[in-house]
Amino acid sequence: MSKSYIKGFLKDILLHLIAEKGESYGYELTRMVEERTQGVIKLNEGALYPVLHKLEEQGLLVSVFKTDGSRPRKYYRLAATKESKELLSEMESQVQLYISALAAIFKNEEEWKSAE
Amino acid sequence: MEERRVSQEELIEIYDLCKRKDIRYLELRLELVDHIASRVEELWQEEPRLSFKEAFHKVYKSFGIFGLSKVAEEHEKVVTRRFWFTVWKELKHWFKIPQVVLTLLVFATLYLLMLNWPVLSQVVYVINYVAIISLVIYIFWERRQMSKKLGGDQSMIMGSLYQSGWLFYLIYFTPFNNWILFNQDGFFNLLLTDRGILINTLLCFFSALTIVCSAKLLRMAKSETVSLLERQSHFQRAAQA
Repeated sequence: MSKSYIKGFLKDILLHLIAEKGESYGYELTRMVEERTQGVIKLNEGALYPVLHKLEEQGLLVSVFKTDGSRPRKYYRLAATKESKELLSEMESQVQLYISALAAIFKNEEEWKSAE
Repeated sequence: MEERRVSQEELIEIYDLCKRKDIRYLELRLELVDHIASRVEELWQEEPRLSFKEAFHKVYKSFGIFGLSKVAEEHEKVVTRRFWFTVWKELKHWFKIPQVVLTLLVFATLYLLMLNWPVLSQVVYVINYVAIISLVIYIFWERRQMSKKLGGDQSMIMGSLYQSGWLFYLIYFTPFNNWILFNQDGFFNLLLTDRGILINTLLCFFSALTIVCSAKLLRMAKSETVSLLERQSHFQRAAQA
């Protein structure tokens, strides 16, 4: 899938997955996306970490380093603020709206093609 | 069968490569070490016979032709933006109700005081200038101290503190400051005029904003340095062992 599509939704994807999982780290997020989309969407590290750090800087995510066996691992979770919860629910309804709007456009396109 | 894990020595090898590939911010380097190590371990599950070097090479190749440099480059933008984001957040805070009353009160009082006693305008300008130069020197010194503690490395907040230099530049070398400096009436005489006093008040506003933001970032950078020192020492202890 084109990187430009993914870039537009990366923030939404990450916030959704982190909120769902409770807390997660960079590599786990890439694996979750790949598994759920059966490899259609692949997150690259060059885009993933800047977005995670930007969300952290905006106060939407909070992070903590934990030691996993032999190495430190940075876990992210949704900030326990009213603002982050509101943003998440607003974002999820916007994404759903966008998906159904796109489906409506391309459904008509298919009908038009089959009629042709 | 027990899962094969990346050893401490191998982790250090990944850490060193990230450092060589210009991942200069410690937080990002630590995250990438974990990311690469996790991918190596996953690869070992599919191909258990691979040596660490082979697996590491395969994982590194998957980062594309620009490798980790691309990650470092993308990340630099976040670091740059951080300072400006802090400034924007602070500015919004100053103009929120009820803080806006205090903001306007402070700067309107300063403006009126200078208008009544124009000589105060020159004194305020000199104090302002000295304060900014002292702050630049202090930030530079503090950054050096923190970097020394981290063995020459730096944190993201330390990186974004560099940006304060740009704000100082914008404040003191923008056209309207040049207008004061190069006006035919002379720099200090111009500060006594109504227009000069208004500009001086604006300069004080931006200086105060810069000082507050830099102080906040500096405090965050200091506490982050302590936390990163602990994570970094994890690798150093392992290297010494």
